[in-house]
Amino acid sequence: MPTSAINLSALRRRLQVLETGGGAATRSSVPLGDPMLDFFLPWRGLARGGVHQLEGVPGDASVQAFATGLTSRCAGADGRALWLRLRRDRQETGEPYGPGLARYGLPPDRLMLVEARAPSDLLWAVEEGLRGGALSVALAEGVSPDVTASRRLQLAAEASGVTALLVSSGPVRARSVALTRWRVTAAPSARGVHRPRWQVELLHCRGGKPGSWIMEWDDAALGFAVVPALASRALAQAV
Amino acid sequence: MIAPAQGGLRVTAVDALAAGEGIVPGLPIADARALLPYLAVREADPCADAEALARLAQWCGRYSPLVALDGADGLLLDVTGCAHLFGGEDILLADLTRRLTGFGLTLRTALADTPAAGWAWAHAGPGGVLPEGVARQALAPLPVAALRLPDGMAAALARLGLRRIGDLLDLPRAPLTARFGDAVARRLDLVLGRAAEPIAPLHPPAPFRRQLAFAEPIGTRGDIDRALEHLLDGLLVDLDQAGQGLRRCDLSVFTVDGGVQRIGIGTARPSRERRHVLRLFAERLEEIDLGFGIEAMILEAPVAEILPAQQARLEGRSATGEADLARLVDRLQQRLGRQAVVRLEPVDSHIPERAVTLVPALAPPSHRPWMAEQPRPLRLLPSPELIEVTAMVPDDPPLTFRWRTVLHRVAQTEGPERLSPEWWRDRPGTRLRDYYWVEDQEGRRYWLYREGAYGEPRAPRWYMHGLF
Repeated sequence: MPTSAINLSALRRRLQVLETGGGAATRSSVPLGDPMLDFFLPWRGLARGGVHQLEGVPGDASVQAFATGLTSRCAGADGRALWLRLRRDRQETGEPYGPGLARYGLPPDRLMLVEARAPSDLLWAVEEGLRGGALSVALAEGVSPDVTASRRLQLAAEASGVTALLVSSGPVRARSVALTRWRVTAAPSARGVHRPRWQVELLHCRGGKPGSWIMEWDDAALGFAVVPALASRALAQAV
Repeated sequence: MIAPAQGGLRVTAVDALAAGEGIVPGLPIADARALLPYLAVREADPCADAEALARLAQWCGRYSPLVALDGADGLLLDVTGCAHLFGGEDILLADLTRRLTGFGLTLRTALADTPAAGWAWAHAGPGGVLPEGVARQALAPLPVAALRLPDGMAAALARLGLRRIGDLLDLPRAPLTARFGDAVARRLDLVLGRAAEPIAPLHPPAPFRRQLAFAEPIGTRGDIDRALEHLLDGLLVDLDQAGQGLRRCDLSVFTVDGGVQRIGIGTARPSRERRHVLRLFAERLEEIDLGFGIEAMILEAPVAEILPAQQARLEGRSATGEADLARLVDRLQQRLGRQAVVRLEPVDSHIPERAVTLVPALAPPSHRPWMAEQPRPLRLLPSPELIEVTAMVPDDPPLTFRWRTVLHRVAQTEGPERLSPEWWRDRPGTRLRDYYWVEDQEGRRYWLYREGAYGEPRAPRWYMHGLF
């Protein structure tokens, strides 16, 4: 019947809106620099005003590097970024290093560093950063919120439009309301030590499909670039 | 009270009962016991006394912002301009005396035109308020010791028959000065107000200050909130009129049992925002122990800076963004500490760990470039970690290295970049570093350095310094 068909398509649309967490159309996004990658994500880029989780492996800064790139993309030309971490992780993961941040296009006067002693303080500080309208993006390392806490962060981010990136050096718990969950590890670089490559896996994406790419950072364009051969394969698998 | 002194234990302080039996400070303990066999003796604790006096001084802050310690057992309050808040000098002094007596303290109080006259009136006179302009007549019958003369001088004066202050007042000054130096003349001047005696307050008085005393002690968080709002409103009016914004704000809370608790907040930029300041205070208010109730509160802004009147909504979005940011920084600093919210700033040094410094989060940017010309790691280990390295030839880049118990096989290297010690800063003997960019077979990228060179007496050592 025609009426039920209309109802069904309307329902589908509503469902899609719910699944993508506010909808691809309503949620603004930041392009990551590579058109294929942006097209793959349901928001045509990384969704703003939401929580994204990234995990890596200990002793490898690839996930921090990828997150720095995302931070730079989110902050854009004049946005401000807040970088939060735990004091006890100083030696373990190293301190963010200004001269190294420069290649990702993060000038020191737009990046504030926050150091907390306790994980509870860190979570509080992330939420505080997400609540005001002062920031573009908040990057927190060493925080693994439970479902309630991640929902709080998600709500705060949605209300303010600030993007939250939660980075951990180890696997994170799967149950979370984050919009996306990524795993980033190192990949051998073909073009010399100074052109780092990462194996980037999109493990979970609300309203989208998982994927996997080899990526590079383009110093000149200040954006991500998918290394072609593998990118097409990932897209072929996904489509 | 007794304390060790020359020739054994001696009495340092007595109560009224013991004094009645003829026991005076300075008496050896054996003599005191002979006078009064059942004398109760305690050891004196000057440190605890000093602490107690300091607490008492803080408590006295409710009467005047200018409170100074006076010797080991006295407090000096400058109540100029404060008395009317309490209904007059007599009422202020009576209130102070009544409350302190209520704490179980024995005290002598006096209020006079000058600190020296007040001291004399409290220590040698009957105490109470010495009305303006009568110091000369009133103090004349007091013994010269009330002038706080240097040791032995009172006795020297007494030998000349000068026992009372009045005896000195009538004397010509020149012979007096010739005989005793200027100490006597100077003390007389201070008592009579002919010379000013500056007092050194414990806390420098805050330029902006509001206080509130409660008829009935308050004891709920809601009451405190309302009182704080009331105080803050007053303080903000003062600040507004002065065209200033607060950078620090302290709240002192006086509990019924004589305790004073002080909590403070700070702001990164001068602020006159009621809501923001209240929010900053809200967390700290939890710390206040209400005890049996609160009878007074003082709100001070010890540090304020120029803040022109707000031009509402003319400067557009960037100005409000800056204000939002300043508020965020304040909130973070309030909970995490001042040092916990910072940003990076370049320093002219080619030693990697010195090339960057931390500055306050809202410090104006210098727009200096980073020194390094070669790629630098994203993460720098605060202290470089020693690693075990194997290489084909000693001077070669590493083939494998072991870091944090994991063996890394090197796939590509680049370098070295040689960084010499900064001889003008480093200790002699600091060794040069050869930095290598290293990628292991899994693609992990590290920044390693060799400290020292082969052929030196000390073997070189390898360190892990950064991650890409």
